[in-house]
Amino acid sequence: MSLISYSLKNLFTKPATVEDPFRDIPVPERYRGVLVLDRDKCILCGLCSKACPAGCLEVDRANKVYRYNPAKCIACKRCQDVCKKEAVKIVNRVRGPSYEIEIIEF
Amino acid sequence: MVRTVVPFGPQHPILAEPIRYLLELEEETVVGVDFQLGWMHRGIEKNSEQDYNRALFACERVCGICSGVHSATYTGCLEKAGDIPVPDRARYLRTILLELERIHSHLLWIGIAADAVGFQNLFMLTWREREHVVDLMEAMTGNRVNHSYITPGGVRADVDAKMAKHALEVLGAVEASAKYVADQASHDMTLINRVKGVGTMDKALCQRYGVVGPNMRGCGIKQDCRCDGYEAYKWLDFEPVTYEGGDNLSRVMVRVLETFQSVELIKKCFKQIEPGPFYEEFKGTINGEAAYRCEAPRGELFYFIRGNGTKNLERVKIRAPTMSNLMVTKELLLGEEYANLPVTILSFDPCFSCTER
Amino acid sequence: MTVEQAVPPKPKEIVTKTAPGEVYDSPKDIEEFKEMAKATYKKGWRLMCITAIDKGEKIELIYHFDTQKFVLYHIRYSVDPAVEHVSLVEYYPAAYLFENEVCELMGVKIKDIKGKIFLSQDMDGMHPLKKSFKIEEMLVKLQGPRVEQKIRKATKEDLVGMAGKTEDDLKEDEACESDEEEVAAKGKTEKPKEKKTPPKKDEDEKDGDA
Repeated sequence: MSLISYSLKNLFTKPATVEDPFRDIPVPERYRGVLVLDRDKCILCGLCSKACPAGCLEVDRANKVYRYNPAKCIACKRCQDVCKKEAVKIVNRVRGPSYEIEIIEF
Repeated sequence: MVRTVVPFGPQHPILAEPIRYLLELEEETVVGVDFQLGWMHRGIEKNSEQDYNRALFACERVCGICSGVHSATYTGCLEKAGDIPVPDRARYLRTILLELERIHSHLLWIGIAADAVGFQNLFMLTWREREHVVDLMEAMTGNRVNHSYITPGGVRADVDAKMAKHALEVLGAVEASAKYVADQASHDMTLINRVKGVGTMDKALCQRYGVVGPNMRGCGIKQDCRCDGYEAYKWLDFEPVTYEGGDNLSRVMVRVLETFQSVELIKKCFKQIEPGPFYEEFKGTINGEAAYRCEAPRGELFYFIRGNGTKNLERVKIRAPTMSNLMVTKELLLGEEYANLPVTILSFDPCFSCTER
Repeated sequence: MTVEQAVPPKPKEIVTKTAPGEVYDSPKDIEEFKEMAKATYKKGWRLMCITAIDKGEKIELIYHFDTQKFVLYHIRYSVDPAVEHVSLVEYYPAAYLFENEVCELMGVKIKDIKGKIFLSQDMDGMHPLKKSFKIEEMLVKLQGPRVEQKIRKATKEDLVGMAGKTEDDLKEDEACESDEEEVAAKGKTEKPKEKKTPPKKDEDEKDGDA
């Protein structure tokens, strides 16, 4: 069809953009966002730390410390695949911006 | 005659990735060509000499547009070297992801090429359809690019009937948009006059320089790596898409026709797929070497992996399609007008982040 | 086995594990290598890639060719890094980029090839792909020592998305404590196998943020 008829048809269709601050962007269920740890289920075995390709997890058994660096995380979900107690999960929360890099201690 | 050297610099409005061309001009005609690379080298091959499960994520991030085919080639090479079995349903799901990626890459390229010629409206129309395809990949795998879906032994998640139905609806809209582009490319006189007869490459030049991908098929050579029979392509019946001419217009038409072919292949996959397991766990070591190649949207992607009997790999060698295509531009650009240069360089669909991983 | 004997059947009957088929050849000296390269050029085969592998004293080069009959042909040849090697640019112009990469990243000497495409000028003389090259030393030399990062405790916003607790979860908690000793024993046996990964992981942790 010619460009004129396409332009007229385009006048009456919805815009393709989503106005972000006023409307929510739909996030699918399988989206990989951030790591979340259930501290009561975790036994500090360290399998997730060995499986992580980016090296963002630090598990210390003696001092009972679990540290996570969200800036290095690539959200590949390997920690969730390897964990046998289902303590580590990747949820579909979108990571927001921040001013500095902070390591989170669970 | 006065000669000037003009840098077609690392930053240019049509280039997605940086490369530096040094062009020797004699009053609007190109007389000498030289190029420099090196802005995107990240050392991914050296980083991959570790645990083979973790090297998969490094190799996947070589390129953003064609990251699925990098992970598919790495996994195929590993499975060939280590004799790892893969269930049939996983092969169909991998093929669906690879074809979706081919559609999104060709739509992206058509948009950028139209923008380089000056047809900005076509750029926005194709990218609007591309958004639906990328949302489909996000619902299926979890991420828009860098999917991390393919793993040695199968795939990481399954596709149910609701997703399949939604996918077929989206593909119908993509087909309508691709028909509009094909229409414009064959009837719109302004577009045709800018790309027809420009950057002509004959068969002998193509074979001497070893050009791969849609650039080779735009000269009439009928070769496609998918005919090797990897993944589920051996159960789908298709022929490579060719177009005669060897100029910019034939390279555009090859990519548009490949988009139609990909939609047909995905529909065939959804008809032929059968329920079953999608993952078979493999916990072993890799001993031996293997070479493997896949058809990326830009050409033939080649991997060579050698393992030394432990969980660590000894050598991973990646050869991207643009590395083979780049040397032709040294001879092709001689004698061209300066205004035709951006479209000619872009018609080879260069991806420099793949070239210098 | 020659290439003609190794041709597999037509595409529809190929078994994916062995397709495309591969044939390896090893010439003994440089004259035989030149003969083999000239033979592939006369048959019209396409040069796909050149791979270089570090073997300590010698560097192993593998040339990969595509025979256009669903079979890949490889020529394997070991080279001494101090001796100049022959170039294939007269037969295959596309080999210019492959040979430049091998020269620069692995340190092989090839005739008429300068090898200055990928790396920046302050890395002159360094060959990164060799086994003796350490990434961490180069980064500290070029960019300075690593900066310490700030640590904070997890707050309620960090735990959004985690499922609530049920009775099954509490029962699993009791089972966890008895499992701990088993996993501690397993952890000790796992370490000897994965001895190589911890040093690489330390490099990864210090790497990346700049």
